Amino acid sequence: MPNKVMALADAVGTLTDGDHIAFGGGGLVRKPLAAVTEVACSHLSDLGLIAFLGGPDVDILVGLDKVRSVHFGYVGLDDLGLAPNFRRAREQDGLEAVEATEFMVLAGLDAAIKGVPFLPTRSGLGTDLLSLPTSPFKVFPCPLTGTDLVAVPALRPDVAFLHVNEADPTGNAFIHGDAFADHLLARAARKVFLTAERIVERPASKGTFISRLWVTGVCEVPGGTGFTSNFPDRPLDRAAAAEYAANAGDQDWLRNFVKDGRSTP
Amino acid sequence: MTTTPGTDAPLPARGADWTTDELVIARIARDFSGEVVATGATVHSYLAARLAKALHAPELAIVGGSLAGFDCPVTPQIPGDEFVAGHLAPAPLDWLEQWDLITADRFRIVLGPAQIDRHGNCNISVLGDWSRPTVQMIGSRGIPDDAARLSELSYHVVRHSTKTFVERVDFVCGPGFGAERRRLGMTTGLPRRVVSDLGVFGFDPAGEHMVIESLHPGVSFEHCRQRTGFAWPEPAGPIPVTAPPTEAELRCLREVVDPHGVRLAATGQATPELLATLYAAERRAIAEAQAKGPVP
Repeated sequence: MPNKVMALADAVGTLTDGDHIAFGGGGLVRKPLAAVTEVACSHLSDLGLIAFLGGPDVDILVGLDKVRSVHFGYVGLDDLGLAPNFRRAREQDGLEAVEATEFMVLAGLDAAIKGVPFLPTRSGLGTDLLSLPTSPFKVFPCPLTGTDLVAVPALRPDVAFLHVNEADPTGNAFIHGDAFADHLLARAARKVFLTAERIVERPASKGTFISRLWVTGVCEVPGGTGFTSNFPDRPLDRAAAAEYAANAGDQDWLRNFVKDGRSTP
Repeated sequence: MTTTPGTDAPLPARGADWTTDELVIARIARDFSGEVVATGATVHSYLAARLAKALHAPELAIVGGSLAGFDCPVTPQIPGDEFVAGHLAPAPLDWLEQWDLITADRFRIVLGPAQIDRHGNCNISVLGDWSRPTVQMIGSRGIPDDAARLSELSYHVVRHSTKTFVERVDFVCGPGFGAERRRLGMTTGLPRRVVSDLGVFGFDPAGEHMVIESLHPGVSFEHCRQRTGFAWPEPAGPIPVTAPPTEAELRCLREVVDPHGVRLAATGQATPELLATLYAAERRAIAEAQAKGPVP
């Protein structure tokens, strides 16, 4: 059996400038912040982020000028408000953004998984999303009924980082609680690295299954979601999350926060 | 209790024995029923879904803590309910299944727009020009998806003002009535109802614009007119007054659904003492839920 256990630094070492990265989880839930920190401290630059529901993952990397573009359905800090660095980058620095919807991100990943150039949807019809300068979405007449549909292009991340509760050394893993888009990211991305709360010989069969056939490497990182929550192992660290929301817009504070390892366990 | 026409006098915070927050939650709750998912994008509308389940619509399926718990029992609300939902509900809900439920119209969500206009267009994405926004908010999220699938959409606006009820939204996340909808022959996502801290509003499909259904007790038409960024048609007669919350609604909300007062934190009325109480309740509830496990 393959043994895919590796150090997180080695996983991040396989990335190159300009890669499109997707992090699992959503908002302040199960964000792989240890992996985000490793990327933030690397020499990588010019990254593209694919965010189904972006949170501090997007905000940290944008705040540290690692990011060229963000393709997103949502970016925010849930009930703690807007993401301060993403906000500044969009309002003042002209950060390149592709705004999608939640379903369009899932549909784009699914198109990549299914090996087709696009999937059709009705999402976006009648809205301003389809006329944005960076919109990759295209309205076309349905070949069967003639009504308008929206083509969502396939979305294939170069690499996905997912935090799981339990994994075995070959990469079979389970996510307890809300899986967000992680099971799609695992199938759509060219490389998939898991950070695991625990690596065990036989993970308990519970929650959402990630098959080892999709997995490139497994890193044991207890607490790898940083201050975000990881059901049922760690609730949201409310004080740390509030501190982040209040201060992270200050880039010096953010740089120290990451450098001092406060974004990781 | 009434505001003086021509002034911007503050809203009455409460009736004889209820607050505007309680009125709003009770009013939104009355619209939830049926064997569907019931949820809200604002704290008040989420509490309303849970109040409806506890009071008159036990068949509703409550989804809590993002999608951590599907078919959650109604337990005292805490600020973050992911762990309680995850421990007490039978299972999490898969995001793909959520979209299947939305496509099948078995899903009722009350959305929380930053802007809504007289035609029912709504916006949560950006303020100002999209390419260089004055305020980057959270992105369109699932609103365009909901609008293309659900039969109708309802809204809760926390603070009724000329900034939230606007002549034209800066960015259309959810299409209201108008030429584009007619051109597309779009029959989904019809704007149905808006509840704010001033009143309850509906839509006249023939005229394709928002209308006043009722104003909350103590709110005059003049006050609502001043706080709205578009012109209301002159009322033909007396405007109905929103029915105040009933004794049963108040008791259930205060004792069962939100005994700790999460509704106050949601509208910036929380003192540091209340916040400390809420977070202590949150820690306690998580520990209790962990020990208890799913409700059979």
